[in-house]
This record gives sequence, C-alpha cells and structure tokens, in this order.
Amino acid sequence: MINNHIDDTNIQRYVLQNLNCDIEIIEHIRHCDICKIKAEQYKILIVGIKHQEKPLFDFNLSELVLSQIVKPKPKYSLLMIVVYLLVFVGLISFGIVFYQFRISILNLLAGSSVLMIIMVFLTVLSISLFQLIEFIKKYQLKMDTLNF
Amino acid sequence: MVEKALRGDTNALNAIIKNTEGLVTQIIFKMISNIEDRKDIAQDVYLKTFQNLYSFKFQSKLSTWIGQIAFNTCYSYFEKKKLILPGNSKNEKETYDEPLEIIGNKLIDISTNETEIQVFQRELSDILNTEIDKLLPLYRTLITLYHNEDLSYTEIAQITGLPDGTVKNYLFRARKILRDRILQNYKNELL
Repeated sequence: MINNHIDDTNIQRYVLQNLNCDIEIIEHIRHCDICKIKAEQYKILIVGIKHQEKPLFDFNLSELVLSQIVKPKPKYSLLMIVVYLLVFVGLISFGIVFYQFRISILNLLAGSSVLMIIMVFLTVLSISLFQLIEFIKKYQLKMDTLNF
Repeated sequence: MVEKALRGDTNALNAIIKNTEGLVTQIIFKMISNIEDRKDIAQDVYLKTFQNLYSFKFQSKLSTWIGQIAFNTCYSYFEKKKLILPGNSKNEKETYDEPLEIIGNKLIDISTNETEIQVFQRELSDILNTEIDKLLPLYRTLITLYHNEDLSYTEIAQITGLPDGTVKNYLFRARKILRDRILQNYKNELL
C-alpha cells in the first residue's frame, strides 16, 4: 500500500474511474481518512457540477438565425455537368455500337458456352453485391455519425 | 439532414439548430460574459455553420463540428476585443459574494433529513455557480462540456483544438482550483 497521501490528480481519477483505478491507490484511500475526505469532497463537487442548470437564451435562436438565411438555390457545379454529359455520351455511344453490331454480338454469345456466360454473369453479380454492401456500410456510418 | 440543409430545406436547418443549440449555448455562456455579445455570437455561429456546411466531411459528429465553430467564434471574439480573460484577475477577492459565506456557515451540520439535503444541494448549486464563473473561460467551458454535456475527452479536444492530454490536465486543474477556492472561501464547511 502507498504510504504517502495521494495527490489531487489521482484522487480525482479514483472518483471518476473508481474501480479502474490503481489498486494501491484504492487501498490507500480506503484506509486513509484524509484522502477519503478529499475524495468525498471531489464527489460532492462533481455531482454538484452535474446538477447545474443549463443556460438558455431568452430569445428564439432558431427563428433569429433562419430569418437571416437566404435560401440557397441548388447549385450544379461545372464538373457535375461535365460528368453527366460524359455519362450520357457514353451510354449513347454504347447503344449505337450495340445496335450496329447486334448480330455479331448475338452470334458471339451463341458461340460461347453456357458455363462461360454463367461465369461472366456471376462475376458481374458479385462485384455489384460487394459495391452495394460497401455503399450500405458507408451510409450507416454516416447515419451513426449524425446521430446527435 | 445535412444534404437537405444544403438544399436550403428550412426544416433541416431548424432541426440542426434545435439539436445543437444546447451545446452551443453552453459554450457561449461559459466563454462570453457580455449578454448582448452572446446573442450576436450565437447568430454568427449558425450563419458560419450554414455557410460552411458543404465542407462538413462526416469525420466527426455534426454537433462536435458546430461546437468547434462556436468555440472558435468565441475565441475570435476574445482576440478581436483584446479582452483580458475574466477569472484571472487579481481582484477576485473583491468580487467575492459575501452572502454566500453566510450560506456556507449554515451548512455546518447537515443531517440526513431530505429537506435539509435539498436545501444543501440548492445552496451548493449557487456557490458552484459563483465559483465556476470565477474560473478562466477555458476551464469553465471544459468543466461544462465534460460534466454537463457528457462529452468525451476526444470530443472536447476536437471542439477546442487542444490535445487530449491537455484537455485531461486542464480538467484536473480546474476541478482542483474549484475545490480549493470553495474550501478557502467557505471555510471548510460546505464540502
């Protein structure tokens, strides 16, 4: 057991963490009246602080702030417009190519084995599933973060 | 909610204010003494929040991020006004509230009577209010965020921009100052 009195920092740690504290400190406080009184004083102090009334503004903060906010119009950045345009052009090009070579593509698919088609299909499905799971995980993480 | 707020949805903006108002009010009240300035700062905090909402990266709670804006706004206020931080002045003894000493004297014999305990708690609350107000604004804020708002050391560190260890040390120091001052001012009768 520690013979010297426990310093304030460790007494506070004892009061806040109690049993997670160093066993020697707990033992000393149990047997030392001076440190025990100090710990009790800190307990009363902390309980007192916890029970302090929360301050409130005497005006409606929400109304005051909202009255000063001009509703921002949704903005579309140039980058987003370019991205959408590229996606659109890509889809159109893919459609044209598919239409032009549809017979060749169908022949190619007819020529390949069923096993090959199933493998391609399963690969695409697995990748999509992994991406979906990742997306849901990220969404849940965001929601947890926003849980005030 | 953030995405809705970014689209200018008034309900979302209102919800953000309502959900974080308590924390922001605590920070402003503990940091700023002037009542008029508190009002301006509170508005300023939310205007800054909504102006910069697009830069919120979801790396912390939204309330912690807004708390950080509140703390920084209060800090800028101190810098702008070049204020001497209250609580560190030499005339603390002069501002000492005399009637509270009388309250302290009444608390010598606290029995286990429920009514007396309630009276004790009320009086302790008054004394604590006075003594917390005499602390440095930073200490007041840390004490409040930790004990009243139940924030973790990490969250307080994010709000104040101080390292975790410094937050812990300041909290230990603030509680010790508070205890020592109460014992000194109320003659060992209260605690």
